[in-house]
Formats: sequence, C-alpha cells, structure tokens
Amino acid sequence: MNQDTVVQLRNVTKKIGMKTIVKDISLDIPKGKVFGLLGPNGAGKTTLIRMMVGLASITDGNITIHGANVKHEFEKAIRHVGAIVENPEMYNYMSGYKNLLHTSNMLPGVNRKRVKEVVSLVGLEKSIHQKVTTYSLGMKQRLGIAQALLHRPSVLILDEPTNGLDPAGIRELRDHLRRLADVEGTAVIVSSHLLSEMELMCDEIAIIQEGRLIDVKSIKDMMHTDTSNVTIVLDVDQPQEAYVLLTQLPLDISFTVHNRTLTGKLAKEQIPAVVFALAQAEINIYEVKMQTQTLEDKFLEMTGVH
Amino acid sequence: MYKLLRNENMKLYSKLGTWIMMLLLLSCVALIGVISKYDAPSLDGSQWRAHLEQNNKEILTSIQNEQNPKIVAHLENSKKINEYALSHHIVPIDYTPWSFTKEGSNMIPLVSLFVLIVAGGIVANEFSWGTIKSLLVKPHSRSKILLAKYVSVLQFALLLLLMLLAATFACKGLLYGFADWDTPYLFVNAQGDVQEGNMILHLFSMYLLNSVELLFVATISFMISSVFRNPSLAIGISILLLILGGLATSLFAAKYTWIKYTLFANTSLSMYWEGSPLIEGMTLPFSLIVLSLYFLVFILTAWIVFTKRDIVS
Repeated sequence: MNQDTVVQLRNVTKKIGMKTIVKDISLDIPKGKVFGLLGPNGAGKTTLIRMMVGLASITDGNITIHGANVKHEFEKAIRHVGAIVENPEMYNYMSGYKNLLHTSNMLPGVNRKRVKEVVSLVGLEKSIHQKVTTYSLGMKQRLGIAQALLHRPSVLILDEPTNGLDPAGIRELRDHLRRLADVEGTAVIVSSHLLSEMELMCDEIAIIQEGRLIDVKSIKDMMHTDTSNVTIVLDVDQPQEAYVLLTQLPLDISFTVHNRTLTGKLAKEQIPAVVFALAQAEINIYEVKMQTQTLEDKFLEMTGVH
Repeated sequence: MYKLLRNENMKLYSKLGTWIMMLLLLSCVALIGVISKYDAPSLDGSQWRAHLEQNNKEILTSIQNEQNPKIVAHLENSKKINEYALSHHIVPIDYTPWSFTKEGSNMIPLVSLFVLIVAGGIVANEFSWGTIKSLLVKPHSRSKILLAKYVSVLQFALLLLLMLLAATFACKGLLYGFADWDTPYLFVNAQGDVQEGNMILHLFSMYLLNSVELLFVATISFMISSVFRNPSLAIGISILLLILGGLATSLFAAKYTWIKYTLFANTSLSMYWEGSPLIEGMTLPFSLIVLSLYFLVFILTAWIVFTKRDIVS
C-alpha cells in the first residue's frame, strides 16, 4: 500500500436483494489530491460514497480510512472524514450558527473559536445568526461545507457538490477544494455526472459505470494528446484547389472537403509543411485549427456510449 | 454522550411547537383551576377538624358492614391517619394548595399526548428533513445517537410532569391562598404506625406511578418513528393506543382472563395500592414482568432497525 493512500477500497461490493449495485471496486485514494468519481446517474457513485461513510452496509470487501476499517472500527475511521452526502440538509428552524454548534458537539476537538474561523472561511459572517430557512441554496451549500470542515478532516467526501450552485458558486467551490488539497493535503473525493466539471476540479478520476470501475486516470493523462496523430481543420478560400494540392504532397495525408474547410489527420510535425505548401500556391488561409479530443469524447469512448 | 443529549435538547427546544405544548399544558391547568373555583367551591379550611371527625364516624360504620378484609384494612388505615392528623394538628391535603396537584394526576394523559408527539418526531423528522445523513456520519455509534434521543424524550416527559406539579400548586395557591402549603404527607407503614413524609416527594412519586402508560405510549411512538421513519404514522397510532388502549382493556377484562397479558391491563400500577387489581390474581410482580417484556420488545425493535438500516433517502 502506497504511503500516501488515505482511503482504500478493496473489492467493494454492494448487493440489495438480487441486484448488484456496486461490483468489486478497488481504489486507492491519495492525500493532497482531488479525486473524482465520474459516471452517469445510477452508476453507483452515491452508493459507493454511502458505504465509505457508513450510511450503507458493505456487502463484500473492505473500506479503510487511515487504516481503520469502516465496517469494524466505524468511529475511528469516520473521525477523519468530513462529508456531505447529496444536498446539505440543515435544521431549517435553527440559525446557521446553531447548526454549526450541533455539528461541533459531535466532533472531537472543535471549540467555539474554530466555529468562528470556519464561518469566516466560507464567508457567512453576516447571515450566520439568521435561521437557515432564509438561506439561499448557495448559502446552505457553504454552511454544509463549513460543517464538513469543522474538525479539519483529512478526507473530505462530497457527493454531487455542485448540484444547484450557480457558476460563481461552482468556481468558488472549485478554488476552495483546490486549496484544501494543495495546502492542507486533504484527500478530497467528489462525485459528479458532469464531465466538464470534473475536468476542471479533479486531479484524478475514476470512471464508474453500472457499478463497475471502468478506469482510473489522471486528468493530465487524459488530456495528453498523441502528437503523431492529430486532426486539423483548415479554413481556406479555394478548398478544391487546396484539396488537389494537398493530396499531391508526398505526406500521405487524407483530407476531406466540407464547404470552405478541409479536415485531415496527420502528425503534428507535418503541419508547417501543409501551411507552407498552401501559402506557396497562393491559397489564402484564414484559420488552422487543431481539433483536440475532449474529455467527453474520451469518456464516451471509454464507456462505449455513443 | 452528554453532548449528544445537549444537541437533542437544543433541537427540541428550538422548535416553536415544543413551547406551544408547554404553554397549552399551563393554560389547561389555569383553565381547569378557574372553572373549578366558580363551579365547585373549595372545602372550607377552617372546618377540617369537624369534617375529619365526621369522616371517622362514617368509616366506623363502613368497617362494621364490610366483609372484604382487604378493604377493612384500607379503611382502618384511613381512620388511623385521620386520628393522627387531629391529634398532631396536621391539615389534610384536601384543605391545602396541594389538593389541585393531587387531582392534577388526571391530566397526565395530556402530558402523554405531548410526549408521544415529541417521541414520534424525534427520529422520523431527521429522516424527513434529510439531516439523518449528517447526523450519522459523525464519530458516534448509532446506538448512542438513538439513546440520546430516547433520553431527551424522557427528560421532556419529566419536565412536563414537574411543570404540571408546580402549575397546579401555583394555580390553587393563587386562587385560594398558600396557607398550610407545608403540610406533611401522612401514611401508615408496614408496622401499622402513622408516619409523616414529604408532600412534594409523595405527589411526584404518585405522578410517576401514574406515568407508566405515558412511558409506554411514548416508547411505542418512538419505536414506530424509528422503524417507519414517518412522524404522522407514529403519532397517529400512539394517540389511538392512548385513547383506546385502556378503554378496550377494561371492556374485555370482564370477559377474558388472557387480557391480563396485554400491555394496557398492566400500566395502571396504582390499582395494587388501591387494592383492586383489574383481574383477580394479578399481582405487582406479575405486572412488572409483563411490562418489562413489552418494554424490551419495543426498545429492541427500535434499536435493531435503527442501527442496521441503510440510509437511503
């Protein structure tokens, strides 16, 4: 086991009746990283998270947090965890502050000073003594994060954290999680069905589909493009002439013409030669664009959904 | 554990409904107090000696006509207490501000109603609000969390009983004056001697003795709340039991002897002090055993379901 691994899943399986919701998932989640669980709705992400935090029983396999087994040493394991499962739910008839006190009473080593600190961390100083009924969803979300961070957990688990947040809120959350992972070394686990979000937020993502782990990849690897085979799009004023010219080049490139654009696959090093040839033939080039494969394309490729 | 209990209490007393219930209880006491002042004038305090002497004469004639030795013993004890009161100048409870408190035990079903409402919501509300998730992902076992909730309910019951005790005393005192409030409680001990005891202690233990039914409807409500996660269901069923339980039991008790194994046949323990069990042959130990078994079943059901279930919603 890697020293940096904080949360470890080994052959985790969840069955409800005859139905297998999560099947044989093994994962190592390191500290200081934002780790994403990505998959369509109903893939088993939430069930997996519920098992990590002890809300759902584990049919088979083991989950350990800092070496403590969630099944047998629940209180020891969960001590390190801050979690929001689905929407942050509060006692609406109490003030935000009382809600925080309620949480702090259940956590070891959280004093009033820390409560104040967390309130200012999430920027709720002004409204903390108002009843939660008056809060917007974004404010509730921030209060939820304050609750989850009270005891400085080394593992932060957020299930669909951006649900219901506006773009500014999402950005704020993203920066916050980034800082927690980078500065405090927190292992952050988030789940989402939105790729674009994961792409911006996570260092590593595990792709889950129908309860199975399809792949674990770092975002860097996923975004890495193979330079020996890229797709370029050319916008030129004489596409037919350009097409004829380019197919005659000794470069072994196949192009297709569509209106004023030509699309072709080639190695990255060949691009200057193409541009040079067109320029020499006095064909005006308005745009040369490399078409990168998005995470979405990769995801769809991996999960086989088209 | 103490902090968990504090949390439960914070949640309970932050709710407006809790305060409304307390206010309702106080209003009921005040209302009944005022109505009875105009409806049935209180006993004339200065006449208590004459009344007691009269009462003793009546008791004497009753004893001569009575066949049942148990009732005879009961009457003789009353006579002894009356004589003791006369010779020691002790004003009987019926002529003091405590008389309303004594009658106040008839209002315990109202307390039961309020307590079962709290008991029915305390677990189920966490589910309906969704807060159960954040409650259970904390370093505390589910058993401890449930225990804190149950203790919080019992504390609320105790609080209401104390309020009832204090409010009835204050109400009577304010309407008629607080004279003779320090009168002791007289009872006959096992040796047949009259003893003086603390009145407040006596009244409160009498309240507790009359609260067995309260404990059980609250526990049933708590159990249903924990099993079905539905506050309305828990409260509805428990109210039904509270209203019909005792009634149905006494209706059937005359016909069937197996009724003695049912819960509500055993909840009014004061029947053993008054010497008239519901069904011939029932004893205090019998009732205590039956009650403990029911209690165990209700509590275990609540606990097992709550600690084992997957939190889905």
